Amino acid sequence: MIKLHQGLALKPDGVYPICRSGNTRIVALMGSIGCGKTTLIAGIFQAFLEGSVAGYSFRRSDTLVAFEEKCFNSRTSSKASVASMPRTSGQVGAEFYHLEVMKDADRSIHRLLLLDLSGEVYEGAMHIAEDAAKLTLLRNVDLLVQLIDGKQLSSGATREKVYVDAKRLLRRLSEVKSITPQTPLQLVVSKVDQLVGNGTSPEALEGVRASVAARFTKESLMQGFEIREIAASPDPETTVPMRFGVADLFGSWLAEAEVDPLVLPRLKVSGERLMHRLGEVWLPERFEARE
Amino acid sequence: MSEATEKGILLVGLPKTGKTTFVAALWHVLNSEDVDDSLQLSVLGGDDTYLNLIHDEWLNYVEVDRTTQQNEAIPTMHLVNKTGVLKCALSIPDLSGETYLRQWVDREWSDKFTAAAKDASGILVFLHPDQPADAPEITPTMRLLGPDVDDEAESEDAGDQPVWDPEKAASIVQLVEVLQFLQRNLNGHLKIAVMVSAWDLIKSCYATPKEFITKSAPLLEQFLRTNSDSFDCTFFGISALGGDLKKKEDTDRLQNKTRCASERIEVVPATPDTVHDITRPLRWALSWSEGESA
Repeated sequence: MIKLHQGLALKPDGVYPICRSGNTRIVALMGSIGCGKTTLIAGIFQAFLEGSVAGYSFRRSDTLVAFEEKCFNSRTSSKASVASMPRTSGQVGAEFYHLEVMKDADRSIHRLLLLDLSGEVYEGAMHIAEDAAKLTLLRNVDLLVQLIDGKQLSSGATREKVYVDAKRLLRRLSEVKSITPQTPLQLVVSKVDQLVGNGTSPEALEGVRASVAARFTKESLMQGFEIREIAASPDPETTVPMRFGVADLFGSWLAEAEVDPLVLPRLKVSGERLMHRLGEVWLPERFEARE
Repeated sequence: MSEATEKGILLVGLPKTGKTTFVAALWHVLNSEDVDDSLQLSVLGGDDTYLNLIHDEWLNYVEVDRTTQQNEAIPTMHLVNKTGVLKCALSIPDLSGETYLRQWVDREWSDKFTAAAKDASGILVFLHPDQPADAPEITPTMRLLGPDVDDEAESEDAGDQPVWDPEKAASIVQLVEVLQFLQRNLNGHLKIAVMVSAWDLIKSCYATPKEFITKSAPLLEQFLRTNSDSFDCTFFGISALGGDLKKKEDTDRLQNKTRCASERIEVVPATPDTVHDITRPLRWALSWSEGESA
């Protein structure tokens, strides 16, 4: 008898073999309970069931069972009358969802690990420094994606708390050095259909982006900061397409990987020693000579 | 006559995807010698009871009963080409669709399956147009049906969270996982022929079997295309029954307008000379070129 891989979400100690394969991006999905992290994970996988996504084709996944479980409540096979998402329990801890894709244009292979943590964990981190300090695995991610609940932004009663919570989480994680200023940050307004209704025109979305940007001026200084909008599972009563904005968001995560420049450290060495080491070779871009 | 090479073919597919009907029609062609250039049977194997049973059903225009995990014994078939040269002793473990469903749920290969998989020289993967490969979502369905549908059910179910059942996972995801298991646990380049069963039912809608897979099972198409370093892949449309046996006009046509039972079979792509040769997917999967059997 041969035991086969379980297909479940991976624990942190299970991702090393994937990372070792190279060209692997770890994307952390952050946000409060109900902000749409699970819906986004399910939406990405469901999109691949319909075809290539943003010019990338499915190649393999070690977490197919986990993806299917996330998608189940939104399927007619669940016998539910309305689409819903299973809430990620705070007891579960950090889990990773794995996708390996091939870029259709050049057949390059890209690996993606989506880090899913319960909204409860993030809400704990907002308030308690010790909890925030435990999230050290965020230091190793390639991209932070902070989801902001568009439905709550649509109401004056909840809007301010959404902004405050999101900023507090980023600040807390930064103060305890669980995230670094060098880690690129995306703010993603989820459930944007609840904010703009059917009016997902570029102008309407630009308006959303501007109003969110105005609240995150300090955070916008973080590397690669950008704001995007999605409706992974829009309200049935709107005409917003399923998985609105999800393909573009997914493509942006991998596009980031392709343009990452090779950053070499700038070394400070004496001119004499430098010449001794390098002989006639001079690499002014990399080395700064010191008197 | 030289000693035959042992070859195995693995039939992969979830329940009701046409594997058993394929084997019944194959058994007919191998025995009947109706089809020029097809592979033929040199000697009968051991216990042919099961093969003869499903063959009788096929000949009697009865939908061939699907295989359960208890009744899947198929003897080795000793195959010769048209000149009588023995080419191989072929074993086809007609494993039931439940075998693959259990792999998805239980996450293990039985010893029997492990042996069959490791002996396989090629793989035939079956999909049936009546077995939905997609996984319909609630929201698009609600939009399609309109706002007032199922209001009563909604009010009854509103507080109930569905309970995850892996058996209800999208069938195409289950199939891709089965292929990932094979990819991970078998060494070397695998030859995979994707078999679209009941081709006669859909051939007016799709130009080629590959087009059907691309449009109806995009995840599988992506998986096979992006894993060309692991798989050598091709696509066949197979009409093994010859028509919809529930329709009188189809059974009338099959019974009265064909010269022999093998003409019920259609395999595409094909030339007029090879359209009834159901052994062609085997030859491809065993790396035997067309018109030649070794």
